[in-house]
Amino acid sequence: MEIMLPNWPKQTEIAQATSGVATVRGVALAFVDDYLDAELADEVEKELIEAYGARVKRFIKKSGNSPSPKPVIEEAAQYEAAVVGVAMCGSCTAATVADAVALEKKGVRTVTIVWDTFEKAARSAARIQGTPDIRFAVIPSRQGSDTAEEQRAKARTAVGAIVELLVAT
Amino acid sequence: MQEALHSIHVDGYEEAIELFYERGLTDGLPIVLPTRSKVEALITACGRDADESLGVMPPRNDKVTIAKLAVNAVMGGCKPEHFPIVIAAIEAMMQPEHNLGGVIQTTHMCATLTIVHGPIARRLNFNSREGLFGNGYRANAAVGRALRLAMWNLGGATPGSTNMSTLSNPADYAFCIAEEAEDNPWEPMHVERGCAPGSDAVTVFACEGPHSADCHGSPGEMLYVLADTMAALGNNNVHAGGQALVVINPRQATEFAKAGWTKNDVRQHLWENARRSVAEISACGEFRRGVRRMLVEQGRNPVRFGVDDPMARIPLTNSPQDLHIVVAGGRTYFAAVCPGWGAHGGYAVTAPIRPLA
Repeated sequence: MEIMLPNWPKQTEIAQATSGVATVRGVALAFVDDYLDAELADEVEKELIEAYGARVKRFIKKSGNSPSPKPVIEEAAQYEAAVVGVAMCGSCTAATVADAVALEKKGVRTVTIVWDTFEKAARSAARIQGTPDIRFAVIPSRQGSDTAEEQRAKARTAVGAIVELLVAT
Repeated sequence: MQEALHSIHVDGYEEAIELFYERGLTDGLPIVLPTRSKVEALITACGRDADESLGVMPPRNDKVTIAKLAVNAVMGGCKPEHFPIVIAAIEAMMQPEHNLGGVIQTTHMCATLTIVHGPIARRLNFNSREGLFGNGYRANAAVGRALRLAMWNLGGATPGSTNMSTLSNPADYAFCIAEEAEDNPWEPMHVERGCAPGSDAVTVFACEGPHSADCHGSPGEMLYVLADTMAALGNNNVHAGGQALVVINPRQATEFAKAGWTKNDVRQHLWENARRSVAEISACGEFRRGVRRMLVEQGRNPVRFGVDDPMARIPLTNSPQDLHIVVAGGRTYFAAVCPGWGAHGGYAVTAPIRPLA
């Protein structure tokens, strides 16, 4: 008996790996921010500029639950590298990874900030979109009792990982 | 067992059923085997090219073709006459305002509900009366499950991986109702939304399962209960706006109409009364207050729904038109409220159903 299959082998093109930047100092960085963890994002931006000397342009999304519109991706792709985040919920993880994938496919090295609860979802989304090796800076999920200062401290730790991944070969 | 690109040859029924489980091609329930003849019958009936693409479905971003959709529809139990409804629902879900990728992957427990409108509902024996959201009707069950199987197989929505719904709900197996066309004093929902009277259409809307609202008494008393049920602090509408659905049963709709209430009167009253004060929202914590502030800053909620005046009462939605009302169910005293996902998406989209070829 012949049975039809409900999904057919998908020809997912594996994107070519992007190159890291030599150093973050002086580099023009796009920060595509879904604005869902503003305290963390503010601190990430500040730290990248003040501690690491990056030139950061922040793109705050209109909706964190949908991928960025094409013009935003086009503009962000003009930068030397990009930070994307914050993946802190189901739909925004999907949207954030979609942005990172779009930038990677344009040859831009990205690092995506993700809460640990959503790391698996983020990696699954990256894999099925043909970019299994994109980089994530994983931070502990925000707990209800976390103070703003504790969140800022996580941001400072995350920036260390972000910088490392931006320059990695 | 022989395998080709789009099909597989198996020796027996049991082997085929187990194969679908082993390969993760079903949602946990057994399927109707999609034999070539059954699938081709659906494709022929709809009169569309098998390779026609309806777009790509997130998160897997697989191309949804008529042929692949037909396989999933057979698996769900659809007959050829059901297939145009499945196609119309998929076309509606793939519109940007529905944000299907977000709906599939959110931590929230919403799922896309499909509402069938027009004479086709009665003709194909969709349930629009007692037991509306429940079991017992092939049309509701088969169309509802076909759509979920499409999301499973073509969208790749697997729990804990790409589908991050914290609790989800049984609607992930099937979530399809019909609007009552005959025992309904008001204009049907699809006509309000621009379709011709007497036409067939579907509306998709991402929402929670039905919350019971025990509404006896006069129109004012029924609306008092409904408004309170809609504005529960745990739902996303209170904190993030968006859209909501209210299901009013035919007896209640008749009572409203007899008392001179139009559907828009009911909608307006609910919009003005299903509200929470800024103080109540703020008591849910700084995070909730922050979400409201963010939505205003991003222009997704009007400035007048800001969070500065603790006594201000915030409506659930930006406008009365974002409260959807459908008449369906048994002629009793229960209504239902289905809160939406908020301003993140899942918005209602209505699409016409093309007749069979």
